[in-house]
Amino acid sequence: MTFSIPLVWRGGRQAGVVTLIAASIATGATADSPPLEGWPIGRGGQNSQVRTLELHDAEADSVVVHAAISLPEMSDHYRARAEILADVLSQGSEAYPRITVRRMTGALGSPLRGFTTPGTLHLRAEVPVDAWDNALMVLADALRKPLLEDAAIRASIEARTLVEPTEWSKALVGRRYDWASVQPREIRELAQAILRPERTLLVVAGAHEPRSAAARVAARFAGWTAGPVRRWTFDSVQRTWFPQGRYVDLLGRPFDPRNEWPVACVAALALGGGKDSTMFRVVRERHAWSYRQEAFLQMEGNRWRLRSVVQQAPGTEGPDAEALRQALLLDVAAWDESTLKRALAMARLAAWGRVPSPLQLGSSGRADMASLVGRALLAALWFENTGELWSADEFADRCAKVKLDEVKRWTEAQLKESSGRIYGATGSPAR
Amino acid sequence: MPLFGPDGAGPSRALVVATVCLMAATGTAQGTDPGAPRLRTETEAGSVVWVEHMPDAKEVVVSLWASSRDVAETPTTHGHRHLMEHLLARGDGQLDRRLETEGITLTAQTFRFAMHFQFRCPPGKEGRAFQEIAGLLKGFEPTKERIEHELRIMRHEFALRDGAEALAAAAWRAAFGQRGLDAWGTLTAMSGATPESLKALHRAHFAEPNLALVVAGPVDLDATTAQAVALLATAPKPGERLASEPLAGEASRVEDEACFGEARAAITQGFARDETHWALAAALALATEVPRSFVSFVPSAEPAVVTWGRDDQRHGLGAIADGLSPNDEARLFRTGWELGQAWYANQLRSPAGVAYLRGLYAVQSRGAKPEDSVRRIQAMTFEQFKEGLRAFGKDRGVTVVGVGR
Repeated sequence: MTFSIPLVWRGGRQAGVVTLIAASIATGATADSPPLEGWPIGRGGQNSQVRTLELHDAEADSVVVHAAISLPEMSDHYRARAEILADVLSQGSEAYPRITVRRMTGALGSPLRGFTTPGTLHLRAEVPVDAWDNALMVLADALRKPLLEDAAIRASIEARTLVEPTEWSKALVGRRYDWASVQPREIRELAQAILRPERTLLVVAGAHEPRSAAARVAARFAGWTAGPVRRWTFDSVQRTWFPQGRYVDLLGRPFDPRNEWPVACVAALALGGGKDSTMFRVVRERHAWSYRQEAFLQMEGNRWRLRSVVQQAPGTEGPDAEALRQALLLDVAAWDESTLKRALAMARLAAWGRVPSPLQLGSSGRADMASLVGRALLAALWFENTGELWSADEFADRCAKVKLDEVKRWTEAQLKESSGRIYGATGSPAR
Repeated sequence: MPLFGPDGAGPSRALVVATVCLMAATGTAQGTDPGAPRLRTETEAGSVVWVEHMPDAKEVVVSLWASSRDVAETPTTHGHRHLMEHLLARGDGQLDRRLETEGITLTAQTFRFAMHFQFRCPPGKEGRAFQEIAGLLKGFEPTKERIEHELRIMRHEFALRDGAEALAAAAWRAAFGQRGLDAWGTLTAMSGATPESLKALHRAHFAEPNLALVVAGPVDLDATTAQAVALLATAPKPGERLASEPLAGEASRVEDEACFGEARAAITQGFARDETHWALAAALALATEVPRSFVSFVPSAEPAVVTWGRDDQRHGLGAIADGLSPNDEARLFRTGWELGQAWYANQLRSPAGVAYLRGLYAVQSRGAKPEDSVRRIQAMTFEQFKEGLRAFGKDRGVTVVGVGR
């Protein structure tokens, strides 16, 4: 797949990559929004505009419209409510009831859907090319005039209480939100706080007419003014998952991806990408400690962390976190140019979605770079996290400039500074 | 709503050009047409080579399929194929480094009907995959220590098996009894494997008549076909072919302590029958009625089950399957008709999906093609769809209630 449209970027930040059309009216402050607890975050009557990223793909046979709403720093209590809000937003708005939403956005089996990743609430649909403006209309109305009726909120809450995540997801996410305590009033208040133009990044990706997105988005969101918000507080109560397996988990220090993403991505792929990675060779093949083991970059808003997780059968004894750390460090010390060469080959594959990305999006799994829907999501998060426009070629090229010594130093520092924990099978909760 | 098998979503979404499928009647690579985008060849020994030219694809996918028709498992050998797959995929221990450094990935899967090794390569590097396949066909030298080591790894795999897979396996057992053994196996049975038994299993499983090789991507049809045919000729020669009784499924209801959730399964008679596709369309339509429910389906030449289930609750599906009103059926018809075709179309978009689906059909029945399944779904009438829905009824299908956990 090639992107053939030159970059047009009117937002002040220039990525210099010939992949994306980025038409922006970046008047709102989003990256440094104050914490929710430190309200007011909205000033009432503010008329800032939605920012737009356009990702044109002439070979696609669909269009994805994707709204990414940046969230303030939140406690788990608020995150639970944000998840409910995301879901209910997709269930209809003042102008478009649920059945109409599904009819107007569901032709490809990917109707309007809301979900969250750490730091961001998402609402997206994938539709046929000739239907994307209608989908945008539905999405805009969902954000501007959400219904948020009690019945829909309660149904969403009830559905969540029944969901049993996968064993792996339980271990990675750890938290089990206290859904039953969520009140519809809280969802409406949260919506008022975070559904605001200055927090919204709109991605239009696919085979639409090039350079047409910004004008359509501007039209659909014209006159969107968010009202003032008021302060409120909650007590936070949460439960934790108890995965069946035994998990050994090393969590590295948070780092700023703006400066470190190339070396971090190469390191994560050398450590955990593919079947010749350190995790696979050492943890699985050498020690038979596990069948599934992964190392990845956990995206937590605009901070990322290197995480290494080993999944074991219940009742397994050892290794402890320190033994895992030492085993990995021993292998990292032996990394050579052939290790780097393999990791860079994996980076090229990851850039185009042929192997799992090194980027973990909260409970949503790895960034999916193979699908249009996944690339639209990644474009939004990549921009918000790194300040750069996502480009597969740029990703591979920047990774290729990373030196072996740099990767080894970075990985060793991350592993040495990581916190280790064991949880799961014996009744201990996930983190 | 997962369907097991690769999703076929690759970075290239180039559509396969619809065209004529050329078949060499006998012999190798006869009757080739350089203008044809795909070529199917049957070798004299009975193996099949499919090469599909996908000019816009950004990768070449090479899939080796080995039918299990001569190596049916019993309770005492249950899982030996799975164990062999693990050992073969590790090669000499350096296989993955060699491949990944060149941008090639290898995955392996064991199904009831076949074993699958898939290489995804940058264009022009499919020859590397061929080299490694030659090694796979040549055989391997497992040791007692290596087997024990692999079983220690597999203990972790077994302990954390996915809920949907466990429900689907329970449906198979309920429908077909011991003939419905899953491809996973048991650790107890696997611990009985020896280096000699695994080498014998390899010779029978990878005997030339049991093989299908599919190459999909920007490749030259004739040259690639010639290489592939020559490659398969290096496979072990067949021993005694075993005749087996066809599977016969029975409607039933079971409570299974090995899993949690609920499933309804339709017993089908293979992809050569229209009814199989009616049931698939019905399952896909039913799954849209219940959020987070799944459909499990692997195209099969033999009798099989199409499973619709959920692993978050153990009630609700039966009431839907048995209580559909005429309006419900009419509403679901269009959904099933579209989703059934869409599933196949999505697979056939990418080289990985083509290599998966064409190989899965060809290794079980030389002349079978996924396009035949698409045509069967396209031709499905409302009355036939209703028949597909009824196949999930409690009196005709299999009901599994997972009472574990």
